[in-house]
Amino acid sequence: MVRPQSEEKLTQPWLSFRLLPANRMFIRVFGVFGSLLLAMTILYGLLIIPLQRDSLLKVLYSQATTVSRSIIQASSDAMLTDDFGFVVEHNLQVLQNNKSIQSVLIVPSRGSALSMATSGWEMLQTAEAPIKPADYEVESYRIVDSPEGGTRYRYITPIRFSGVSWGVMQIDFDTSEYEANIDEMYRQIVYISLFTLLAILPIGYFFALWLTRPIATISRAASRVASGELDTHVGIDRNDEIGDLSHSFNQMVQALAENRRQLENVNLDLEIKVTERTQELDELNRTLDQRVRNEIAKRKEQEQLLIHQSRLAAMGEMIGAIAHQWRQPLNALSLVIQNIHMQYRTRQLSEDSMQALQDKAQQLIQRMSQTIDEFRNFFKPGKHAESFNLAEAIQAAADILEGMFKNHNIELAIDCPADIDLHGVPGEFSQVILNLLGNARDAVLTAQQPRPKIVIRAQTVADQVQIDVEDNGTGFDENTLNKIFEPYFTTKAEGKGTGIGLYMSKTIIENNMHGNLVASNLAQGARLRITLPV
Amino acid sequence: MKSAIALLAFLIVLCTPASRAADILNMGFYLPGIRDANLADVKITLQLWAEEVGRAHGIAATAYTYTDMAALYHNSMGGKINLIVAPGMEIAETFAPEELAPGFVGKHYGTGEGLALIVRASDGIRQFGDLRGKKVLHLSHDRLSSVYLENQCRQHTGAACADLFQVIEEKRNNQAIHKVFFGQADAALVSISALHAATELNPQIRQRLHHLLEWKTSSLSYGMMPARTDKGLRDRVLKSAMKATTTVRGKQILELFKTDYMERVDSHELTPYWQLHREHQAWSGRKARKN
Repeated sequence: MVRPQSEEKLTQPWLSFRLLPANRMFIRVFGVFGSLLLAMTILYGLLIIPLQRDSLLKVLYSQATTVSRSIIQASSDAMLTDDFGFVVEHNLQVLQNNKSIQSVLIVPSRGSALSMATSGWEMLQTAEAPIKPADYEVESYRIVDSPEGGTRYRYITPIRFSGVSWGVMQIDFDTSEYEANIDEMYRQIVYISLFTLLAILPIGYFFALWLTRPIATISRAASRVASGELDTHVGIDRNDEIGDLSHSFNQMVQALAENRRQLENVNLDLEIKVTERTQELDELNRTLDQRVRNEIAKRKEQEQLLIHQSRLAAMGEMIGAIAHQWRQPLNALSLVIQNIHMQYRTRQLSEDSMQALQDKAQQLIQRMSQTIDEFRNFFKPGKHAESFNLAEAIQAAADILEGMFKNHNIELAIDCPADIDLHGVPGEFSQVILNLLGNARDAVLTAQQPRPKIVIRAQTVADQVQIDVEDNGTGFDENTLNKIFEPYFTTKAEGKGTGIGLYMSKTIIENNMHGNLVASNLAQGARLRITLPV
Repeated sequence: MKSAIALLAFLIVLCTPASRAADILNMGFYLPGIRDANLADVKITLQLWAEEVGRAHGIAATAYTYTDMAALYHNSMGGKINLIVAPGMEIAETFAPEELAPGFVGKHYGTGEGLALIVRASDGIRQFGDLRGKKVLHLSHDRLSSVYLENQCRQHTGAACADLFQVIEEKRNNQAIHKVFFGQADAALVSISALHAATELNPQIRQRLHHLLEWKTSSLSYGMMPARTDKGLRDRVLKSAMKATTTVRGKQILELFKTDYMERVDSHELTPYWQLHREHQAWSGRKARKN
């Protein structure tokens, strides 16, 4: 296993030299945690102080009522018998035994009042007494200021025997313990707050660090991954969501690294292939001229072959046409010969009749010879483009096939204005018309139409000439229509078609005459339309 | 067999060197002389103090308490007790001067000790004879008060106190003082230190009360040793007793006897008591047990 080059380790906080990580989340968590803890401590202190104060006051009240009852109970006989010596003695003893009592003031309804304290006692005239029995029908208690400074808890209770008022007693309690408790409480709260504050620092520090450090680590790792360092690894090993996050993060980074490696491999393969292709292209470019030349030569050779084949086909057509043209004169010549033989047997052959038959035979031979000339002229390969009359060219082609058409009872109708001239090689154009008529003938013959008909229609449309060759034959099926202009494509039976007629026709019209040749089906039959510039 | 062993042990004790015997301190405390205290606490405090005094000088100390001066006298003369702690009057009535060696005494800072016969200044009692028919208080179970008051009665009027006024015993000096202060009694024989303390607590007492008679002495209680006590032990005990103010138990003892500090005294310090005793013996017609 390859060790990652870059590893984001979760460093132990106590080993970290940086006291406060430059981490906003850490500062926030630390601040919020510390503030909350401190606020809760202070709030607790503020809430507990009044409660504790009340509790202490209740303790003082309880103590005061107990002491007052004890004094009254113990001194009741002495009070009723005016044994003030006992009262003083008893209260001094109480004061001596109970250091929290600062003074006891007993004011009878009649007679002198007694003021007793730990420092001594004195007898007061009723008028000098600070309290009057009539003013205190019920007990009273409160915190008062002490003349010596500080405070006292003063409890005043009426003294009654059998429901009859005897006087009033005031007991002052030392509140130093109470104050000390309060002070202690404040001190403790301050200590607790300080302790909390001190505790917050390390606890909050470690807590915030524990919480945010892995997140910061993952964040830094994510940044490194984002910058392309896919060898980054987060070394957080914790059994919680952060540990899961770390684990998932590492898996994600590993997956990214794997994808990246695969991508790099693909790129490498592509580069190799591009290099190879480039080399191939360079090689191709290097031999392209030669290849083009070879291809052109090959194509020319094929074209020559096609032309040759086409010519051979045309020759065949021509021979067929000659045969059809020669059939009638040959019959007539045969009849002439038979007449000569008949007249000779019948001794009717005379000089004149001989001369007449000879002339007729001569005419027939002349006619046959003329036919050969006509055919030769028609197929004479022209090399140079020139203007020629469309109607004448069409008629010339029709004349060649006239005998064949008559033989098959094919009606040929030509509708061509006489004033249309075209520019091109007349022989090539005638060859095109001858091809189209030949195909039309084959189509109507294949269709076995009772009234086979071929129409050649020419017209000028705008600055173009449209020449339609229509038949009422079989037409083209869908597949055939797309392939009829391909070389060596034929629907005819073996040995009856070369498959180059229409190909050559399209080549001549479009390449040599800058026109267009398209095929389409009619309701009955097909149409081949030649469009040529005028 | 058992008798033989016991006899052997007795002989061993007898043959022990004198210095060895001197290392044992047995204190005899006369309890009625200690007022206003829980007896159980007193006994514990006395024992602890005895141990403290003894421990300071490597002495094995034990505290014994007595309610009968005769028994205390008997034990001290028999050698069982070598430190007697009791009121001066009881000591004077029980021991002769030659039977006592120097000891120590508890004293008050600034004030002396003794007895004062107090009356209300407003009552117009100017001399002892004015007490006739009055109500006079003194401490209960206090031999000094009884003897002194009786002596005064005899001295000033030639009559017994019971024939002159109503004698009422009070448990504490303060009670007596307060009763005179509040007019519940006409006169009271109280200790000077108690009167001084009461006056400090309430200066009105000084204004309202008047000293009709006074009898002064160094102290009311004494810690005396029998004359036969080993001098070395006596010196060590006295030296330790002088440090009472510096130890916890010593302070408790001083508090118990209501004194501020301890001071070494010779037996002649008890002379006023012996004199009172002789006067009392003179008019009562009885002879003292010793003297």
